[in-house]
Amino acid sequence: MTVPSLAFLGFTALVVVLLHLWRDARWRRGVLLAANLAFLATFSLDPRAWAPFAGLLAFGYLGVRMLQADRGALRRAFPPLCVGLILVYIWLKRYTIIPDSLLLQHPYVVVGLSYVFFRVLHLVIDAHDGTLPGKIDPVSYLNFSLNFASLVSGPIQRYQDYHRMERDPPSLGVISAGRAIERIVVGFCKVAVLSVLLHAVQTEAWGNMVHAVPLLPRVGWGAIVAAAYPLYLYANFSGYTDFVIGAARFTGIMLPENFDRPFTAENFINFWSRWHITLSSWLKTYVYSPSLMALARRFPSRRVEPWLAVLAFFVTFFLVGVWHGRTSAFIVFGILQGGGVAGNKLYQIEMARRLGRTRYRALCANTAYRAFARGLTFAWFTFTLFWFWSNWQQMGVYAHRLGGTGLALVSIVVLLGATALLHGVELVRRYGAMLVLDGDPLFASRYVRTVWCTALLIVSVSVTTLLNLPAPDIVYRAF
Amino acid sequence: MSTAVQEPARGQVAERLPRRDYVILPLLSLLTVLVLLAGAEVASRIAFVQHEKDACMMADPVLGTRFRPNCTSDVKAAEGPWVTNHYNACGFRSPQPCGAKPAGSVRVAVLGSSIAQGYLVPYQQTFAARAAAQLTQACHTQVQFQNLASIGYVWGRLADRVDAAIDLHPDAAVIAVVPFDLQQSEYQPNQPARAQQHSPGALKTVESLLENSRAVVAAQHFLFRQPGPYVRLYLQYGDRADFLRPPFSQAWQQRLSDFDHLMAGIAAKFRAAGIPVTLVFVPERAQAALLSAHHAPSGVNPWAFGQEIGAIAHRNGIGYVDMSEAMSRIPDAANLYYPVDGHLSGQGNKFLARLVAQQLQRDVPALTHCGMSMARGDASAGRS
Repeated sequence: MTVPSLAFLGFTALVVVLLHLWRDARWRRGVLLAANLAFLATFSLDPRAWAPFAGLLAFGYLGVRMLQADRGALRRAFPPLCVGLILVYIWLKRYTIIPDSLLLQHPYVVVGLSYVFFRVLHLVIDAHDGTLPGKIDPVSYLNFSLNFASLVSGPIQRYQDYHRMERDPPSLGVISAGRAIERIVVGFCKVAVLSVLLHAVQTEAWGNMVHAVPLLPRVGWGAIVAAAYPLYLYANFSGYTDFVIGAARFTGIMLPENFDRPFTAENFINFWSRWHITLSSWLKTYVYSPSLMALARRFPSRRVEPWLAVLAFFVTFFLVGVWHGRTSAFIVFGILQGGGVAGNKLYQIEMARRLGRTRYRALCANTAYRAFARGLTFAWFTFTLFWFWSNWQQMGVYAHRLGGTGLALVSIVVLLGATALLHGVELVRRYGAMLVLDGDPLFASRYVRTVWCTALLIVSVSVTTLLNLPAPDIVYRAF
Repeated sequence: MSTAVQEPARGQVAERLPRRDYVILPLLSLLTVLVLLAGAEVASRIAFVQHEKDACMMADPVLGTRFRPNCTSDVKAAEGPWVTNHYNACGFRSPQPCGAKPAGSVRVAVLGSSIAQGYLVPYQQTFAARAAAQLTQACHTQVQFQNLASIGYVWGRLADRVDAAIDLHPDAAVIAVVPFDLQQSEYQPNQPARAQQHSPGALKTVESLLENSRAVVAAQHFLFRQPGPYVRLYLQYGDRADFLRPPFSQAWQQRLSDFDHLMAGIAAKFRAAGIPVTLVFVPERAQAALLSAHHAPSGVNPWAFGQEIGAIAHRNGIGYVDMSEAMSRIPDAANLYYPVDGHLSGQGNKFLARLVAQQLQRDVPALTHCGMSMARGDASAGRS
């Protein structure tokens, strides 16, 4: 089943009706389990295709129960268990480092495998640390790991948050329902209209760039090719997230947020606190913090502490990048993510040392500096995404068509353009917030939001119907 | 009273909406829909200007319609360019005078309805003008087309137009027909319109609004550009689409029989005057899409109707051009038409012109010496 789609909404509606037939925790858990399994079945009915997926889940569950058994011998199995899970995941995802002869030859389902892996590994680690709320039973384990609303592309929820809602869902009043509907409509519009248009813009710009002869038009099209992709990716993935958060709310599950206006970030570290938040948080919790603590124990000096943070940042965000794909391009993508965050940290350390904390803080508050930093963050992310959306051959064509001068000009155009545009957006947002209705910001008013939401719905339905588009694909479904 | 929407935190009592909002919010939604629809209509009227009424067209008690002699008018399909129509002294859409044929020239009379007229297409892009230019170039002889065709024609009375065509002393006659034309032959000029027979109810008003809405035209234009949805909808047309479903319904069998009789009479008149006749079959847009796709739903055959018309032409000793064959050789034949209006576009006329010119070279003695390629189908004519 495609997410987002009307079929998915219909499926969710049916689940919601079933959930409300009986106010009983066991009934609720049973309905959720049936819904999750039914949703999985829409991808394949062949048991062989599900066997590897089921194996990963079974492996994870046995590991969790083993670690919760609280026996010393079993608990010592924690490191090999984690390594085993990671290896199984890499194997099932068919990373190119695995020789072909070792891969499974029959087709099998991998939809949502990455996200399931993160949830299972989190359970294993928290079981070892003793931070899970009690012994986990198979139904809760499956409902958490396979939650149909977030299976395909996340967001990655923590079990501690899920557990409460599985038994005792938060009430759904008229305002919450309205907000959930708004998220669904906004999400659908982002995916089905905005991301489709941005993708078309990028595709057309690519064709124009390849065929344009004079340098300046080529630079213009090249800048659009580069800058359209992050916007497309944001519309596509954040739209999906909005949609599933809204849909899940009706089932009594409040999924975590995955985006927080990422292009307003004024540095790359902050960007990763706003983009794919649940992934970066997961890695900060389970990679960054433990590795930093381990390094600090190994090198217990206050002078090297900031440099250890730089190293831990690099490792963490290198993994973020590498996770996205199985080819060599994603290794570069990982290096650029890790390098960007680590370089950002180094810059902060160096500037604080040279200027002193107070002057550096004052500099960071300067409007022009902030605008430029915002543009630079966007430009860097745009640059790194070349290793995300294109292959080496396409990058070769791009570089060949633009040449050294063209590439330099494209970088300047993207940097300055993003600086100006994002600052403009910030100004609109700031001044927009000054418009007040009944003491609250106008754009937060339910009246304005009702109008906005209705308009988006009409536009989305009209565009998808008239263009007769196939159900939109979610980029992150592939990961 | 705060209007900001904030979800209550966990454990808090759910915030309630004021009662008035249960009325205001749905009304706001409805108002938004209406404003958007009105906005779309205004924008569509600006982007899709439509002026299809030809100021030169006048009612004719015999023919149904004809054009005022020496008249010039401007028309525009919502989907097409502005078109200036000029009618000569006989009321024919031709730049050449309709008087005596210049010595050494070849004259072709064109009969039919809107497709033959080149409706909503600039004259130089019509198949008549293009075929004339192609033949003139290939034959080194002045070839002129006198276009007697007219939209809104009472097709069943085509025979009454034949005398006017023969009076032009043409070297050949071309008759273009689309399946829709055969339905038009049933039109009774004295019959009051159905809309006038019943007082319009609410449903009729909505229907009329939709029919006249330019936003609907604009929406259909984008939707119908893709042949898939267009064909699916067209096949639900009932009787109008039944010409695609052999064996034909009784109504369509009757229409074919009437057309056969009509062609027999016309062919006899032209034969008596020694004028060769070519019948050109132009598929409907949905039919063209099916021909290009090489796949049709069960029970649908896009070839059958053209073959029936061909059999009629053969029985009556008339030359025959079926666009179906050539259309089946290109992948995008539906693009040769205006998506909503359904008439051939300039590209469609270009495609048709080549087929007509080739056929005339075969059928018309004065043109058989020309060196124009006969072998090419010509699929490339349909590609822009």
